[in-house]
Amino acid sequence: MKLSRTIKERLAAAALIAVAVVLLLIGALRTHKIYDPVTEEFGIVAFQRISERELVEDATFGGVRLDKGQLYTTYDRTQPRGKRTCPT
Amino acid sequence: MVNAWRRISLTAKRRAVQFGSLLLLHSSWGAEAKWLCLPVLNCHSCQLAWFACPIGVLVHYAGLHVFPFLAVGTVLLLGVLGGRILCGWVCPFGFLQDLLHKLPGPKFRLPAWTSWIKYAVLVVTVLLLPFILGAATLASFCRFCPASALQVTAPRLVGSGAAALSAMTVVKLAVLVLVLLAVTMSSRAFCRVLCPIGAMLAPFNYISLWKIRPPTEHCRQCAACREACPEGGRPGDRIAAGVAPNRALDCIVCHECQKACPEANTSGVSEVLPTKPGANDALALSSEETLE
Repeated sequence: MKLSRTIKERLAAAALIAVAVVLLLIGALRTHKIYDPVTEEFGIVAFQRISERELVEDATFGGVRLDKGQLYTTYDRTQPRGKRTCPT
Repeated sequence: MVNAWRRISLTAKRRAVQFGSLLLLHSSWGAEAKWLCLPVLNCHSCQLAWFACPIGVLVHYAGLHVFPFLAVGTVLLLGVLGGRILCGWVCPFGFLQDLLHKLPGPKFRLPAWTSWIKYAVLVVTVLLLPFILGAATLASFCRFCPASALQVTAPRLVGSGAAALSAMTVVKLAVLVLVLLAVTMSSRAFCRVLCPIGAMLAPFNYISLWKIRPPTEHCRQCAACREACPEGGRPGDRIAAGVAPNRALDCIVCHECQKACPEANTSGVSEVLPTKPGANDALALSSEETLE
């Protein structure tokens, strides 16, 4: 069966939209462990789970850093954040 | 109302949308939606920015070694829906380039091979180097992004004076000046050569649901569309083959080729453009004369 160019384009578009929806669903449901570096001195590693949405927001101002495979917060998450800018 | 809108030229409509986007994207006085990546070159570090820049987010996620599901999903979805239409109609940095190119001075077209550079920029400075060296690496795209220099670095320098000046600031501002000079001389030079967002969206032009209808079925290869193309592309080749002109990597879906085509009003697709009374007669006469 020979498909026309338009049909092929639409099939590819539909497949990619399905992939995009799956990625967005995973992104909406996924959470990340963010460790607090301050509490480590007592041997207790405190962490909290944040959503992918919050991690994207943190990425806009460097709110998370990677250290030995773990994500650490760079600011006090108990305080109201307000507007922040990226250090780069 | 509908007739009045139809009477406005396509370029004027595009400028109005670009100007409206510029204002809307920089109107966040309090609330923000920076969890959403809008694929246009607009730095999220700007105090007035509503949305996250996908490049900045990809740089940081690469540095964190985390896959950016939301960012990739958003870019993929918008890319499939419109291809590079956001580049042509919404991107504030694209709008600035369009305006600067109107300035008088020497003009030239960049060689075709330069348009491949942006893919290397995307892979190396947005994904690879931040992944290996961390998000804060001096070699990431954000460190020399001209939009960031214009929206964040320059205002900060004005506000804080010489205290904000560093070697990286000087490099970033120098890149901005070079880019602004280049776009004055060559239309959309930054989009064509360096923009990593354009590189991300470009492949979607081949399958996007937004299709520019070929303006004519009787293309005479007059090259009027090529002259009108702000990206220096060859939409005439695709129009002659009966393919949508935006089915190309470098098309920013501005529709200028459709407007420029002298055959558009004579080939049964006149609904695309507002037809002036008598325009068809004049064109029909000129084509008869050519045949004789």
